[in-house]
Amino acid sequence: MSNDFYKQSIIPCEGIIVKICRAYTDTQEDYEDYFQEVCLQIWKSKDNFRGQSAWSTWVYRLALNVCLTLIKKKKKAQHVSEIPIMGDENESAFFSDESLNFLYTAIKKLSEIDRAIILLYLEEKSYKEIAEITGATANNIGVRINRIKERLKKLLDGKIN
Amino acid sequence: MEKSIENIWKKGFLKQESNQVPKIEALYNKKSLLLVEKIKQTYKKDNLAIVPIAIIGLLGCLYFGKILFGIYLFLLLMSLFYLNKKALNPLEKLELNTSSYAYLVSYRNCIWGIIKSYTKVFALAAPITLAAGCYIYFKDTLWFQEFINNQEIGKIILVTIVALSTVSLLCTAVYRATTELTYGNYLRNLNTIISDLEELQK
Repeated sequence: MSNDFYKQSIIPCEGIIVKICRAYTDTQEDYEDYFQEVCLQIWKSKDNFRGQSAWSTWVYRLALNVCLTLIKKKKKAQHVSEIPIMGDENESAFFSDESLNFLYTAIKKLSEIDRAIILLYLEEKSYKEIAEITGATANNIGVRINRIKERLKKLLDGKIN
Repeated sequence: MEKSIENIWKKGFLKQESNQVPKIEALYNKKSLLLVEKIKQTYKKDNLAIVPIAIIGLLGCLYFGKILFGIYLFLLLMSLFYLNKKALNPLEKLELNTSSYAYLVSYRNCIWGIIKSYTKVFALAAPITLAAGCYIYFKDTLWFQEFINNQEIGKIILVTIVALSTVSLLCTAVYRATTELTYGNYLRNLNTIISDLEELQK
């Protein structure tokens, strides 16, 4: 991966990648692995970017796909070795902001697809973009976001002032 | 609360320090080690499977009264087991010291070296050992005695050569097919990682 490509294409999207990878991992080690894998896949698939969407949208989609694939692989491996899938909640104490850590802990309790939807919503992506990335319909996204927010509200109840 | 979630997100990330982004270093080290470990484990399992086959073969032959053939088969399979184990030694000695690229290239060379030598073994040694096995197994049968006594020496040699060549081709084909089936995906992954590393170095 050339330094130019890294500086021009990865660094501006680092925030996105961090947010997504953090939402799908429970340990620092997994997080670093996922982050590296996403960066690597961006570099390897860069020629597939046709400019039909914003670069950041394309990175979102790719990062989500990579994380979901890695989660599937991990679940499969853990199913074999019978190790519990969810990690320790303390592992979520990753960000310096306590409220953000609580929010991430709550987000991790959502289903994989709901996690993707709420991350995109919080990143202020339009319903249309969220639908495009997740493969759902825009109408369905609106309903789903309300449900997810309700669920998060319950999960965060009493934890945040 | 709805507002809070959005606020937590925005404010939380405004405060966030940039040092939470992992550095991309030694990108392929872990991948390389994992792949090599998988190949090693498959190779070891593959080799260990020979031991029960040899024992069952020996017991089966003893049961049917083919003692000499059973011992021959057992020794043959155990020699293959030992040969495989010995072939694994150079792979075990390889260590990821400096770069993933050098490590993987050495590993690939080692594996191809093993595959090449085994192709030779299956093409040359297998027909001879199989012929010896067939001789031990059939030497006392009536049809074999009749064939040896009634046929001209030239015809016996010709039949033996044709049979050995066919067995040689078959053994080579079977070895290639089973290698492809067991290690094909791993070897393709190995090649992909090496090409990626070459691309990364550009």
